[in-house]
Amino acid sequence: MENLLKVESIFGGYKDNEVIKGISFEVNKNDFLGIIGPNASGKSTLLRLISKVLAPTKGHVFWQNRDLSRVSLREFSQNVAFVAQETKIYFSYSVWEIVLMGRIPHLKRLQTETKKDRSVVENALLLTDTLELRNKFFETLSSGERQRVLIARALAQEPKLLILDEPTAHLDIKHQIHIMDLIKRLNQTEGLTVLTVLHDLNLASHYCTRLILLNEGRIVKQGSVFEVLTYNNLETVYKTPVLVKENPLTGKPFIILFS
Amino acid sequence: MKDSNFNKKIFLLVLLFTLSIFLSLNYGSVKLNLSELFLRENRIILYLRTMRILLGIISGAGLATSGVVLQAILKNPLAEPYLLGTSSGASLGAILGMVLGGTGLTLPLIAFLGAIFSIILVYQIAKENGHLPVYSLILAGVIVSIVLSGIIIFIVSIYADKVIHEAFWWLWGSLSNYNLKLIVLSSFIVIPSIFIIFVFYRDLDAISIGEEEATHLGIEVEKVKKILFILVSLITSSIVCISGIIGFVGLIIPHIIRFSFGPNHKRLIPLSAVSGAVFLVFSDMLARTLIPPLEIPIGVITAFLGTPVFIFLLKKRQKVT
Repeated sequence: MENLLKVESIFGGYKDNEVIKGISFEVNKNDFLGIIGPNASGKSTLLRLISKVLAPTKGHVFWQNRDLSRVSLREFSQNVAFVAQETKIYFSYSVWEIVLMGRIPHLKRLQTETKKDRSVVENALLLTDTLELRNKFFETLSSGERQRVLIARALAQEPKLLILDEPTAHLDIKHQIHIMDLIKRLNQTEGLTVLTVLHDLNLASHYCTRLILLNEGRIVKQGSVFEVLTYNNLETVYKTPVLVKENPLTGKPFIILFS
Repeated sequence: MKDSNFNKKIFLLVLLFTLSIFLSLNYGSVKLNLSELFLRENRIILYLRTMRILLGIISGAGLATSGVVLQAILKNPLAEPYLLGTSSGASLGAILGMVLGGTGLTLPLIAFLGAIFSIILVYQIAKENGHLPVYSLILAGVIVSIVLSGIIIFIVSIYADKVIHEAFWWLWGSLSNYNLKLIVLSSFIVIPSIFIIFVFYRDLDAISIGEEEATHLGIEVEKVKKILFILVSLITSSIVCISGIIGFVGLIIPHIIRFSFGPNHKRLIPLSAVSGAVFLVFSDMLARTLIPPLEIPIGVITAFLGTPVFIFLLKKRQKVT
């Protein structure tokens, strides 16, 4: 299995606040890896540490076996795309302009976009089913449409690895499924490796092939959905009673909450 | 997409640019039209009017471009070139210079140093482990401006008889600066800076969406921000010491261009620069011809001209969305 990203016992966070306390894991080619955990367990911070937004204070991150600190931000962004949790846009860019920004990592300053750049953008719009939105202003779109446009921009970067931070937050169930199906399709047909933070445990169970359960900046358990989503693991971490059953349709773990 | 409209708008802009230069040459506090202007005995008037046009072009283009950059980086619609404290720093420098008996070239030079001093002060207050957080920068700019303005008012009130006339010139701005050397010197700073800013148009697009987003697109945000802040500081400092504080151009021109051409910086930067130039040359023509021989402070004209246009575009846009 080809190794894309390797995280070796990293520590880090913000000034006076070490959020991540010794985490190791690997992302292999074609993975659909999910990160779950309660609020403030360090999920978003972990994503920042592995995407060159923050530098780890201890430990190493390797991108294709090279130390991440030696990979330039530009080269990294040609290989790894990021879809943030919530993107507020203050200026009225059109969908086309937003997605075209995904080509920035591949363009030199002052270099005009070529035919190839345009066709990559068109293809990204096509894959995310947003081609008909191309002339609309981003700010006028619904949350679900925005999320798809941002995924299109990430695809325009032509990444090997797609990182997402709670892509289904603020979406209703129909749009949650729509977005997750889209990511799954990209993972299976386009060979895109996916690393995503998810809040909803049942979505994580249904879509991810591997899971990492995070708590207080440490990994509690990582492995298949069957190994991670157990009654014991979830109750210790979330400190709330849950019932784990087998989903009759998929055979995967199904989590029922009660009080 | 809307290209036929775009070409019409560009044509209109070029037309306005030519028209503003023509009108500025044709009208002035002295009644002399174009044909008389090129007569030998009127060469001084031609020289003076040309100086004002040059100054208007440099100041207008520089202030509008600076406004574009600061609004994009600070993601704040109220951001304008003087936010970084340059205006109060330069005025304080100039007024101190007057009190100490400085004249001629020394005043603009002291004003320039004052502007640079205030910017350094703002950066030092805003800086946080090598980063320049946007909110700290806005707050630091406001605080420094308030403190320096307080000192200015204090000095003016003590030395009123000595400085009030000239202080007025600095605080309201004017294009009546006929020192060719100074104008050339500042255009050597302003014009290349505008071109360098243009090189970063894609970076500005990305940063205007969000700093973390821009990082994910491979842009070294802190580095780019520093370069752009230095360029904007140089531009505004140079302009404020040749034409005083001309309000409104840097705030309103970027908005007007964004309303009519969109936020894309590849268009926004050059179009704002040209429109800023048109706007100031035109405002100055009105400033010196409305009540001759009195010259109305150009800041008054820019405010009265800019506001209606701005409100019109805002209302039109509210209808669209």
